[in-house]
Amino acid sequence: MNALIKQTLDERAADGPTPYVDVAAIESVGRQRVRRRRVASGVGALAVLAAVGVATPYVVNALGDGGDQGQVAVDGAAPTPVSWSTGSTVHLGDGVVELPSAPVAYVLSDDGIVWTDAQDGVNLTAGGRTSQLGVSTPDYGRVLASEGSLAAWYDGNEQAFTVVDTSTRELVRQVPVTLDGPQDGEFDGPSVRALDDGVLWFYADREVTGMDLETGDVQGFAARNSEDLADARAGHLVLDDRGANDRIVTTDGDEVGTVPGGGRVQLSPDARYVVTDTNDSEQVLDAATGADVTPAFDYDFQAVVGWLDTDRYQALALDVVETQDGEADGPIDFLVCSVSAGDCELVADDAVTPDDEAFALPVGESFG
Amino acid sequence: MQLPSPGRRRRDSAAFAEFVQARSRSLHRTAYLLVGRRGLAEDLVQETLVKTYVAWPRLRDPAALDAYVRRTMTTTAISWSRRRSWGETPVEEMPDRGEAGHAELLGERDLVWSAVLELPARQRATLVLRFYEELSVARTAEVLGCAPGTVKSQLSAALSALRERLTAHYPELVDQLVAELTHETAGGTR
Repeated sequence: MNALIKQTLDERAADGPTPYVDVAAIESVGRQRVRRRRVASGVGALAVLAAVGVATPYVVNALGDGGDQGQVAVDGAAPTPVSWSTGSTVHLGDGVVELPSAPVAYVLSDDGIVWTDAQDGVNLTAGGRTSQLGVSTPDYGRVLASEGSLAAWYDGNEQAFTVVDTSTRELVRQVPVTLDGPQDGEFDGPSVRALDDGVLWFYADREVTGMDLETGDVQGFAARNSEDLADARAGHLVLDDRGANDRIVTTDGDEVGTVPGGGRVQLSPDARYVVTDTNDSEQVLDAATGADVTPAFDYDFQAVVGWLDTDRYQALALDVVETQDGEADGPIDFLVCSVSAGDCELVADDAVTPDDEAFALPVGESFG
Repeated sequence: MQLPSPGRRRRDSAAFAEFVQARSRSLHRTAYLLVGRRGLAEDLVQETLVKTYVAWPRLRDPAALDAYVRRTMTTTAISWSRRRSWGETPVEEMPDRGEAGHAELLGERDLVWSAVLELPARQRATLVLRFYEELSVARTAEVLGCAPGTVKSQLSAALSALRERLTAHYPELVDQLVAELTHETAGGTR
């Protein structure tokens, strides 16, 4: 150690009083800065929201003012619109769709909104019309999955996983399930996990199965005992053993990496990034290296809703506010975050308030 | 209404105040070494704490908190140096070696301090992080947001600057610095 330099710095540092720090003033300035950033970031965000809406055909389709536009094929590269619902109103990009009733859970397909109602009906709203596709079953976790024009769910009446093409309303495949013995309750009920590249991934009877929808072939993967499937994208699987780390493997069984587990884990569309929520507010990690690539945000809490394309995702964000009774969750804002840009833009300010009775996100799960 | 995840982060005023109370003294000391003026150091501490308060909800991990505060203070000081003139503060005239009584006027450490104050902000920050904060090369690189090799090159540059500043007057002091800083730039850790 360079004793002389260290002694010099130590001596100089210690030579002087410690000034008083006004914590209240610092907090006041900090709160002002938070508010200013939120307002400033909202200005540019409106343009982003409009661009997403224009670029996404099924927004027009679901709105019902596009005639035959519901048959327009969606380019696979088209971004998914920002979406959420309050009550029976589904926000899609810069438009809204009124459903006959409040959705319990919903997903977006190329052709419209697939949603469950309070009676467990599975419905499709597209082109201004709503039709019932089938019946779901109450479940904890994901009840609906979609990819392209396909939508999938577990039909409790038929005791089968059901996949429907929403462009034609035709049944693509039905996979009967024989449940061996009593299940462990709602956490272990049959449930769709994902639709990925024409493969339906589902959980039933304590096993995860991947079925090729075209051939009916069952895909296996190198699952260890008690592993569940957290997500499947681009031929990559996130396997959750309820332990500290989830494994990322390919459908060929190749190990890609591990990610901190314990919470909701989801892959980006090209499986380049993986989202994990073990650090309270979610982190975006490089799936191969584990490097933290989370874009900067300025909220007390943030959660990834879903990916809009291979680089951007929709995020839910909120601050904790002071009330007469103490602290409470403030209104929900929605952001569009870009991994490559490293930042987030506000696209919907105070989109959901604590007074909104029904609230859902396009992830196929109920938050009620 | 139930939110879709159990995770929550809050700006806990009590915890933040406790943090400020516990760290205030050390923050002011480091800030002074970075900017060389008491008043400016107070401004630097305040700005660092405001930024920390804004980021507080995502800094629950103590290690992450320390790293954030250190990085924020250092990078803020460096950015200020580009806008303000504090980095160009004139220091005491270097005394002529042959001038009578110079040793009494200016001690050895005063000379080193004067030379340190003349270093560019990034080099000075590197020196403070390595010698005062006693961070390893790797940790210093993390704080400065650069590669470990850059830390070493910054230390080498600091060495050259100190040598140029002092060599005409105190060659024996420079020899000592060269020996010790060469060890540092070779990757010695603390």
